[in-house]
Amino acid sequence: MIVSLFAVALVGIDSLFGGPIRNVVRSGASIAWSSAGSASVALEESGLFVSHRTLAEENLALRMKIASLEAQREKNALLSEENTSLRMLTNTALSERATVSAPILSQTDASVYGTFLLGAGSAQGLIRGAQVRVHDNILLGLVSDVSESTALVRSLLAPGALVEGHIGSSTILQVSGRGGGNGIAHVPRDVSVNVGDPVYYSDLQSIIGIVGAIESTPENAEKTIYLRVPINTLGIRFVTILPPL
Amino acid sequence: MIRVLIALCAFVSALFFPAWVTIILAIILVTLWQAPEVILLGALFDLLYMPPGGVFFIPMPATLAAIVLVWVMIPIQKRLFMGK
Repeated sequence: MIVSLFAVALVGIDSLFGGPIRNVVRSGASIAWSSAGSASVALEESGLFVSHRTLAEENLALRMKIASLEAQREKNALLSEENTSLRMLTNTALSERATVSAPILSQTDASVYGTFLLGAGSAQGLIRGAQVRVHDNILLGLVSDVSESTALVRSLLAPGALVEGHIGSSTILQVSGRGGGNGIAHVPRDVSVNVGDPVYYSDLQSIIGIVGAIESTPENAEKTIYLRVPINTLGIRFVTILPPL
Repeated sequence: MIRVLIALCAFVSALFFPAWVTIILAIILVTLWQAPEVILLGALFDLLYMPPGGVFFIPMPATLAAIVLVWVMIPIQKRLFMGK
């Protein structure tokens, strides 16, 4: 009974006074995360647990990856050129916004709330509502809480989260987050949507997910779209933060 | 000793492992013992990961869930281990 009251009082007082306790807890945890991260990197680099066979396999995999990346680079250059010319045509050039890079401290799947912590805070200029992106245009979430040295990010597809998405230039859909980088949305049956289509955030520049599957039945006026984040967020170590528009 | 070890693993997993690991360890703790440390684990989880304002309009979901879990498991546990 005492422990129950103590825990409720602890979290309650923290919420009432704007988070003094959570800031201390997160700062303490960030030290543990940073130490564990450094230890893991040091262990990886030391090569203590790497055998000859593993190295040979890794070498082969890297060669294949280089070949595929080179092909991808050529394709990207073409797409980038096309993108620039299209932007000039539509006069929607990206505004020059100051960005901040930050390390991800906690695992992106450590929380059932769809949140994770970053190793940068108000001292680095982070504010609530800032966009957290990877690979330039994939939007993972928005900064929902900031302390001096840490920031809490809530995924756009966190359980229970609602976000407006855009497919193409005219289709607007209400995406409900399911957690784990998955979301669900409903659109009228006549709307043309294909598996693999990107779903954009309301700024029409950031991708919040791609269409993973579509479910449609003849008796239903709507079709269900299942979305997923296009990358595996577990392997990401750094993100880019953009101030809100 | 085993209880301390599991509790320690649960607290470490709240920081370093996916959420389901922590949940499983918490369930093991409350099933085998009357474990108030699970409530503290819930509070830690909320302090670390809860967005401001709570989730689904619940101000401290993990803490409340832990309290309910611990208190609900007490009579069940008594029935489970009555013969021992």
